[in-house]
Amino acid sequence: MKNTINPFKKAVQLFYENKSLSDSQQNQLQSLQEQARTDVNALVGTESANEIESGICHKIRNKWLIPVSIAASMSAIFVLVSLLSVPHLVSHAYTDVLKDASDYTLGELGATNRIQLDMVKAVPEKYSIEMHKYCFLDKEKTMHLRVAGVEQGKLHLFFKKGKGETNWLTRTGNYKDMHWKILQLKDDLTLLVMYTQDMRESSVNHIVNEVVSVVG
Amino acid sequence: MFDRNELNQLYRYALSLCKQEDMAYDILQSALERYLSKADNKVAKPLAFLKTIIRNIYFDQERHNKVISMVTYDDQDEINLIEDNSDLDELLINQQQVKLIVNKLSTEENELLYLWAVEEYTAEEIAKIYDKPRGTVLSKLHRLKKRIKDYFVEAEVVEGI
Repeated sequence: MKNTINPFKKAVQLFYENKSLSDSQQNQLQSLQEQARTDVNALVGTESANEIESGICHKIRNKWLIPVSIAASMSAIFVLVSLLSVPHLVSHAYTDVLKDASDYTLGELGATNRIQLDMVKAVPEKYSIEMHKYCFLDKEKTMHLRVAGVEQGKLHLFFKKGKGETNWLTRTGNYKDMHWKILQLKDDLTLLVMYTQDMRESSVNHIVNEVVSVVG
Repeated sequence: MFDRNELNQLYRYALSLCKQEDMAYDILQSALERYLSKADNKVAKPLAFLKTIIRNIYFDQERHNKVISMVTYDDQDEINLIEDNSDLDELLINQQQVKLIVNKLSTEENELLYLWAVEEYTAEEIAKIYDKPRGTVLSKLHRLKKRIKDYFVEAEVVEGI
């Protein structure tokens, strides 16, 4: 209130000061506020309880969610990489190919490797066998056969005992400068076919079909 | 929570609008319910906020009843009020005369009178409430004071007050 109040203002103020709520009206409005406050407290209490409960659940979820998600993601990546990556057999075989590039050994094929012997014999005559020898791939005794194309290219056949790696999703592909295929001929016999890019596909199929036909 | 004094203040404001005590109470109750119904009523100025609610409720009701004559004060009405000759300083009136004036004035004039005389708001503060330029409010105040003065001059002539 200002200090200097003119009489007119004072009269108006007095007029309104005389207008007040009755006690019953005051009580009604106060009880209205009390009721609202009680309702709000109840509501806030319920919400708080819900928030606490959901907060705990949320924290528990968060506690496990992140590590589980990370573990799942890493597992998925690991599985995917292992499935899509080039099998070790191929990379090992490639190393052997490079190592034996200048080797023209035609080694003895033992009587115990009858099927392999028959497969070597099954190579059509128009293709010359440049080399056959035993090597070790994945610590398994494997016969490595190198066949030259009629005009160009080299084909390498690896006859490996036992099953191929069961997690190989890819059974064909390229590795460095060579194409490769893996064929499961029998439960205990795997054939890895590797050939240079200048080797005719038709020649590869011809040789492989003839060789595989030996396997009953 | 509004205490007794604040509730009385709000009631008087409502009364300045509607001039009827029962109606003023109803409006106040409705406004309070509306205010309280919002659980999160953490308003910076609850009294001012509630006055706005009261005002809105009153004008909504009147608009619905279509009995109010809305007086518009355009900015063109602004006049130079630096020298306001319609001062009411010397005017001596009794409570009966105040009642007569309040009944004679329009809703907007009564509200303005209440805000200016009872709440003692400045023109700038009233301008904020109305969301109008300060000049417009000064113009309204000038007209209000003039009207009240004219009323008394007229009353003196007619009734010899």
